[in-house]
Amino acid sequence: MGYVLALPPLAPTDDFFGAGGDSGRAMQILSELVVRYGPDDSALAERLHEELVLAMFDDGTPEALAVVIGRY
Amino acid sequence: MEPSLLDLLNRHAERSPDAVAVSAGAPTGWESATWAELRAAASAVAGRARGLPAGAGPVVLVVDNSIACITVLLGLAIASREVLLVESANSYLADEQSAVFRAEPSCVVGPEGLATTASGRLTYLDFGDLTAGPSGAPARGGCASMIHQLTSGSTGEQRIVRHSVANVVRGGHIYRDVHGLTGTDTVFVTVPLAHSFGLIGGLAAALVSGARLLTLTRFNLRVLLAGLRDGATVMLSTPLGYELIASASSAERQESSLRLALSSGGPLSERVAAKAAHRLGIRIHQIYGSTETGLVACTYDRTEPWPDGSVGRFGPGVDWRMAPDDATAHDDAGRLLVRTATMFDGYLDSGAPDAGDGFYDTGDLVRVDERGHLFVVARKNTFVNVGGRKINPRRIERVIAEHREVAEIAVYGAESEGDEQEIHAAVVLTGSTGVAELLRFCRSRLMPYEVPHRVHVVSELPRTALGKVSVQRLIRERA
Repeated sequence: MGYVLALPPLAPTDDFFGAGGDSGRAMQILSELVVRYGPDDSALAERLHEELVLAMFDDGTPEALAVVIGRY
Repeated sequence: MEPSLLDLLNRHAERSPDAVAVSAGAPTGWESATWAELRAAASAVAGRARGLPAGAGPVVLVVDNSIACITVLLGLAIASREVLLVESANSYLADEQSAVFRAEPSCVVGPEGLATTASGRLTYLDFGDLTAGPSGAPARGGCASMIHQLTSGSTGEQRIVRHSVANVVRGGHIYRDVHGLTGTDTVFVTVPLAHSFGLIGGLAAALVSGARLLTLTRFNLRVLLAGLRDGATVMLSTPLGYELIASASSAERQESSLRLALSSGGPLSERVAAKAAHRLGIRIHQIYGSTETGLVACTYDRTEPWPDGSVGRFGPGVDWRMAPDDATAHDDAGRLLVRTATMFDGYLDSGAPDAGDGFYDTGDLVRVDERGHLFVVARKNTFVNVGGRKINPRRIERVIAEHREVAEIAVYGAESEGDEQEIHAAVVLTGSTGVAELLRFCRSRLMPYEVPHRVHVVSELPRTALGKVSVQRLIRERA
């Protein structure tokens, strides 16, 4: 998640927005996360993307997003 | 003659004192105020305004979309204080060279804790200093109250645009009339109220209509979706906002009473418009305007479909003409000059808003079809004058973006030595492509004068809060 900010990887509890992220960057990261770690099934992948978009603004840490991804 | 803000508050507070006037949402919950409460609180702020530091410059209001902030804004306007709106996520207060400092503010009013992050040269007050404590009779100034807003300016520094409060109220009437807003509407503003779109299309339109206003004090999609479920009938957002909303909500799970969705702040792509319309079940209407002029054109509900790519028809009271633009390849396009019912009074640092006949040069290259549909061919500063040739950088961007390792690109003009402009490209690259390869690619597809003079490889394009690429920051950071 640091990459998109041109930073080293974020620590599990680093907040993406606190580290300089914005909504546009967030969208980019989430799409990437779904491609890289999401399910193959496209309907499920879309559900995951939706959940991640919601979760990102609640808690934008790698740790929190990993919990969401872990459910898929 | 427009009703004053106090007239409007009095009208709603007398007719429907217990109806909710405004609700502000945050992850921690919603807070609300009725019309009676809002009138009482704003009048009390007006009474306390005489206690503010004296000074020639405006009161800077740090706008966080909270009820306290809205109350203070209304109160200061009622008290005829000049107010300069800045959004809460801003760097002006820490930058002593900024336009805000040049305005020599008498004080800054904002959320708690502001003084710790900003320059020590200013006097800070919390909203609470104005919303609580003893209040006298409203200190009405002799002059018309003014609201100032920052505008991106052109290639130079930001400027401050002056509008009378009457103008802001008039702008609210225009939104109400074009979109048929009434007291039964709930207007959900998901953009900062510091900017023209949120202030006029949201706050002023709700005030003149007697509609309930919903705001977000912090952007959060769950809160936003809750607002949509909670009876919002009208929403204001940006293209990026609509993209986020569409990404976070499946059509089958999105129940709402939304009847009108407005987008401003930048061009709305067909892709985002279609995606959001699918998710929300209604068409997204574009607003085309500027801080200087207010609404210039828009689409609205009608049975006949709008032509693709059009930003709609001119709004009520808009006079327009096109300046010939011989140097471009567009025969039927010209630079748009407009005169609206909500024209600004001028910039803070200079009097006249125009060259003399009351028209404002938008700098945008437009086309108008025979049925009055407006098409924006290129936006302000979007051409770069290279030795007398006007290059449309959007086209250069499109061409360069065809390179598969270009993730994002902004092409803009910058002053070179002498009085000429040159083309700069700021680019986000993926993979192993470097500047040399990119320029080789450009040269294979563009005329020599169209190939960027300089390429800056960047990690991200700086954007304004409304999602526009900030050319100003590109120029400043790469100087």
